[in-house]
Amino acid sequence: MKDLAELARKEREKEQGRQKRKKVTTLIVIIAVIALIAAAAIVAFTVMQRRDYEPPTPEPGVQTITLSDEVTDLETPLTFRLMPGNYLIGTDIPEGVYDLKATNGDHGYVSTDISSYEGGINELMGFGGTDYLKEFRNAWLVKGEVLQIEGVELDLTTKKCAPSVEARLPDISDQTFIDGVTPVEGVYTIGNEIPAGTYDLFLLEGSGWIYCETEDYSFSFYQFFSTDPEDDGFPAFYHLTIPEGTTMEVNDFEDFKLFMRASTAENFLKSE
Amino acid sequence: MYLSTGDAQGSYQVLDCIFAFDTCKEGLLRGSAPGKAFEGVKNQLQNKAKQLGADAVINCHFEYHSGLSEGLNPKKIVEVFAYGTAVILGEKK
Repeated sequence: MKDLAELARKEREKEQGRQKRKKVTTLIVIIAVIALIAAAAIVAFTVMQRRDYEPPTPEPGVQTITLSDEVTDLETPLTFRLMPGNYLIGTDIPEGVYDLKATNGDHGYVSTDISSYEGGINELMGFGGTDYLKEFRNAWLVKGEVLQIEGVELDLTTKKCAPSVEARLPDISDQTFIDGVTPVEGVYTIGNEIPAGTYDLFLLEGSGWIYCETEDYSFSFYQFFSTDPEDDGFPAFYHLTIPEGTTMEVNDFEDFKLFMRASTAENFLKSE
Repeated sequence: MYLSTGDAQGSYQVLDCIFAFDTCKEGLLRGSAPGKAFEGVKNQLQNKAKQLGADAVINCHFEYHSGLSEGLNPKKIVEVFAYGTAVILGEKK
């Protein structure tokens, strides 16, 4: 009898072991299937998000642009990450041919005076926004032009460039605010409360936006300042030239504190 | 950039109809801000117009919708839509 009981107990243990193994195997299979579905979804999403764009060949009769003789192929491509702002080509970044890639910001606008059809750039770009280019290839950035970046952060990778010019990119960590103003929420007239000039705008705290416009609408500027990626905002804007007479509205969103530093950029904006 | 919910005075050349959309979600310590979404959508209209070479957007229409975001902790979300006509002022209609 004792042997029979022992045998029955062993059989029960074996059966329990089999059931346990079966459960573990089922669990592993379920996890594997979920992981496979997740991986497939990520791949599909990435493919959908990818939006490459090659600018069209200039049409016959359209004036083509040329780069200086200094521009040459580099063994190792250079990459610059640019915050929204105005960058003087040949001074702030080297003249050259670049691939542009949006890294932050959904609804941006990137332009030079030379249009995409002539080899320059004039495109809506964004990291996640629909109908906005995520990448743009072969933008010819010619010395003396201003690259204007609004509402998007970009990685610029050289195809070829003038290696003698070092990129002079503003540093967000540079907190040496020598000369500037900290406007609180309200409406200002540039030339009265705040001097006209070129400024680097830095977010000190919180979030909010500024809106600038001249009476004749020849100049306007808007940016939401924030460090929260969900806000579609940025912590800085570089080299903003605000003409005299501009009305500037500062709007608090959440404890907004902005600093406008007189820009150190020399001979900026040829259009001035 | 001239942006108007009405027509422009004088003549103009129509370039295209443009559309923009922006949202603003309620934060942990702050409410949703329709004003931010409105400014965002105006800025997008201006950028789209600039890309086309326009100097004004006329007959702008703005619409909004508010609702709750998806997820375990739904937040109030305000969506603003806008469309208008991008034009070059001072040229023939």
